[in-house]
Amino acid sequence: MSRLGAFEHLLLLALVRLGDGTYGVPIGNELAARTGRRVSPGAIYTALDRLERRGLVRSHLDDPTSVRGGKRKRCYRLTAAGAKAVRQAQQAMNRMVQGVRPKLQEE
Amino acid sequence: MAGPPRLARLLLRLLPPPVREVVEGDLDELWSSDPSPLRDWRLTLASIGAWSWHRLRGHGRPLGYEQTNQGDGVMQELLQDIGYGLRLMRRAPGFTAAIVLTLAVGIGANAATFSIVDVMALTPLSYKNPERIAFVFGWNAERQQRRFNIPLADAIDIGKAMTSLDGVAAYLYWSANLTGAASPERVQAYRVTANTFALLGVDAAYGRTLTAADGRPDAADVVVLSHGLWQRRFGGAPSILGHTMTLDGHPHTIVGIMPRQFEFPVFNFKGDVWTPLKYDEATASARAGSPSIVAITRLRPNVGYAPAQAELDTVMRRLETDNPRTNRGLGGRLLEMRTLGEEFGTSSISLVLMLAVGFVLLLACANVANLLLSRAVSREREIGVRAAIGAGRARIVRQLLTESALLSAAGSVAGVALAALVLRWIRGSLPELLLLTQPNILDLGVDRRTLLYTTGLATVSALLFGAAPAFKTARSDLLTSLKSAGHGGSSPRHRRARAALMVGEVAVSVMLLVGAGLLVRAVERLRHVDPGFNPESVATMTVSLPEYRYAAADAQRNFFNAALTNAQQTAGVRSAAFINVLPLSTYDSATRYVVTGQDVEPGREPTAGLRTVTPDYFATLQIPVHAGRSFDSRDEAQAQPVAIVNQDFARRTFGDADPIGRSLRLGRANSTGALRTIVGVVGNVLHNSLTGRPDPEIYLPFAQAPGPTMVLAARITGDPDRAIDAVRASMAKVDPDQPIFQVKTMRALVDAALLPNTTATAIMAVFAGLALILASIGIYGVTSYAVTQQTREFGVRLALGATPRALLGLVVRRGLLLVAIGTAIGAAAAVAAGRALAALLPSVSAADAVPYLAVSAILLMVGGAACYVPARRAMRLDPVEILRAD
Repeated sequence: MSRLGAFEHLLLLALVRLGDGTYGVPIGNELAARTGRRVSPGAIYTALDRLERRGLVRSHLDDPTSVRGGKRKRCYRLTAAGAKAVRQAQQAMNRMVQGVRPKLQEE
Repeated sequence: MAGPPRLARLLLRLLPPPVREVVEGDLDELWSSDPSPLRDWRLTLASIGAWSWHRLRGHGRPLGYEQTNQGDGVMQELLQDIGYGLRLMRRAPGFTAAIVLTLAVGIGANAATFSIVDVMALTPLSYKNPERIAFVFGWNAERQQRRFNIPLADAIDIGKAMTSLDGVAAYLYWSANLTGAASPERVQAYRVTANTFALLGVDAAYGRTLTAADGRPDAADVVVLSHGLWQRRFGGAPSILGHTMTLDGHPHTIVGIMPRQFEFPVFNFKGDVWTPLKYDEATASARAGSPSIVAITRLRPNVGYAPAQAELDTVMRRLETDNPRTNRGLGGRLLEMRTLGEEFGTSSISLVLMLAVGFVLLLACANVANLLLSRAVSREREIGVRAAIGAGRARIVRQLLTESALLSAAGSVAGVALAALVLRWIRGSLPELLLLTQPNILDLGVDRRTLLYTTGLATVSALLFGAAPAFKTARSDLLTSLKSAGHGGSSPRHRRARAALMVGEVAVSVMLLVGAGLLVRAVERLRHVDPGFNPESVATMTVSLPEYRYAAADAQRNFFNAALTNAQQTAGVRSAAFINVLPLSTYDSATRYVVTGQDVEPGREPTAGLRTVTPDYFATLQIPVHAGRSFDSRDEAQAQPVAIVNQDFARRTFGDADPIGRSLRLGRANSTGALRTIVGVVGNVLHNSLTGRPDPEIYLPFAQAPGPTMVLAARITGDPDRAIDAVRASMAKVDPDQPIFQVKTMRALVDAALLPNTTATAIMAVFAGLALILASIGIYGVTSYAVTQQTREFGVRLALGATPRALLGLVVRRGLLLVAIGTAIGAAAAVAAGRALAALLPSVSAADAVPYLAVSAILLMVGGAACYVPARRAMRLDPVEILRAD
């Protein structure tokens, strides 16, 4: 099984939320909206590049649009292996979280 | 609407084109929905950072981009070189550590010195347009001497008359007793004209500064606090505004708190509180009774200092015509406030230190170049292969320079960390006087300017130590290097370069050592200067009685008499006395005087230092009485007024005639003060500085001229530090509400007077020590490398019958020859440097042979030792093994 870093985990979850064919801007917005942290496009694409090497995501270049000044965008979709990796990471996370919620809420 | 920052977009070109397109598109999209330049910059830099890191970690070209045929760009080559350089650094950790450490010492010393010099140079004065703020000093035309103080009346008239100035402000040192809830405290107070803050262009952090209304004679008492006092005394609560605080018994309403970085004035004690200097506009022009103040001004925009000075000269001449009695011979001098440091000679010390530390960095670079050269030999084969398979010369040089830049960057990071540590240590151990008076001293540390400077240094040093090896390597002949590499032969070109480096290192370190030696000798001489009194085993402390409780002369006399009796009766005190201004305490007091029987033109009355002392003063400080008598109990308030003068006064005023029995009057020719009979002549005392000459002085008995502020000097049996608290406690018994301050030994005052010299010398000595260490490492490195390179030759020599001892002699002789050449060159350079040093710092004597001889001896000894160690290796070689290995 492939292990996921914390950021990679978040990225894959964002891909699940946004569905196939999404790209840097919506992913960044989603991360910013839900985690409160604005990540640079460069960081997103390097992480996605790593994930693509491991076969967890697949990408293609889309047609350019005018809002982007005629620049193409790189769109990503989750592969089956990727979906499995998120599931496993999520389960590991759930097991870790089990039983600690009351303690965390006390704070 | 403006587009995204253009420079940020340009930086994106560092990314490989396919990546750049995608990232730039994303940034454009973010911009069109919510333009924010700051975020754009941040995201751009973060993207480049993330991508560089990605590539460095060996992920290579991004997936999916292979099919594009666009060039990979400079970035990729650069990253390749950086990655290669990093791997190389990691592969030889010892080699890397040696270089990084050497550079860290060189760059760190420079960064720390820069920060110190930057603070000393007063460049970051926290005023608005500080380059236009100036002092208006007085100028004694007759003696061609500058006076810090001028009468307030003159300052006001100058401000009114001059068109090139944007107002004149004035301040007056006060030093008030702050009483109230907590224990009584002495604060550095200043009375300032109401326009002072507006002139400096600084606003209050809380509340307000002073307004014109505050300066009227009938205005309520208000006070503006420094950030420091506000924190210390009031815990930093803004609610303190509008409350009152008691200064010398008078309640003052707190109207404002200044920002943390605001410090005023410069070169004197930094103010804790500022209150308005009140005067009546209508009568302010009256010269009589006008207080003596320090005036500052702001030049109008686009007015130069020369035209402003010319106008000031005209105005002062007119004031002289209008007020011949008071203003005769009084001119004015404008001095840009920031250049005051230069006036005090600190800038020449700064220059010397910056040069010295620059040389230390040069030595560090030489050592690193040396190391790189030795590695260049072993890399010749690698470079040869690269060239053989098509790498251009420029490409190879670029790669080698990138490696140097990496080393330099690592060295700089370590150096800055080192500098930060050293500066923090210095900040923690600063003498009190410096903390109280030196502007911006607490800003000492690694700031933006220091970082910028360090970046520049790192670039220069990378070129310095990297260029020579890079070009040498790239120029080397491909075929020969491929053929010969690995056989341990070093080209003569390399050997000459290394010998030159070694000679240069020795020369530079000789120069630095001689410079340090000259400074040490100068300080030694100053240490042995006789100040005219015996500073050992003397404790001192100051008492300043507030007017509101001790206005009457009798009250002051009673207090100090009681305090003196208590101090004298304290165990361990041999004798004690009060004086108004202690020698070398940075305080002074002066008076004009007229000697009976000597005609003097009104307005040209001579001046002398004025000291008021209790009878035992001369005995306590062991100042010799050369003629007549000392003061005693006869000289009480109602008795015949008397005075004692010092030898300098006697010589200037009476020549060879006997001064005893002559009389003088303090003040100007028309003074109606008491006629005082001279009853004694005492030895000269160096009052202001150990490097200066003694000034004429007049001593008065305290009983006949009491004052509110006196300094106790007590001669102690044994260690003054131990008895000091007992003496202080005994005096506090007289009036527990009375603060006693500036408690220190006389020795500490003398040392403080030497401080600029000792500090500079200590720093210089550290630099010279570093230089010596670096040079000996360099000598060792060169000799050691030479021995390795000549292993085969030595083997043959041994086989042919040379004794090991002869080999040792050969190696040491060769090394020492280079050291001797370097020492000779260095000594010659040091003669020139010594002359320059003596011209900059008057206490240095260039014609002092001791440092030259001592340094040459040290260098030859250290150099010999540094050659001897590798030479012993040559001695122990086994010829059989060497020849077999071939």
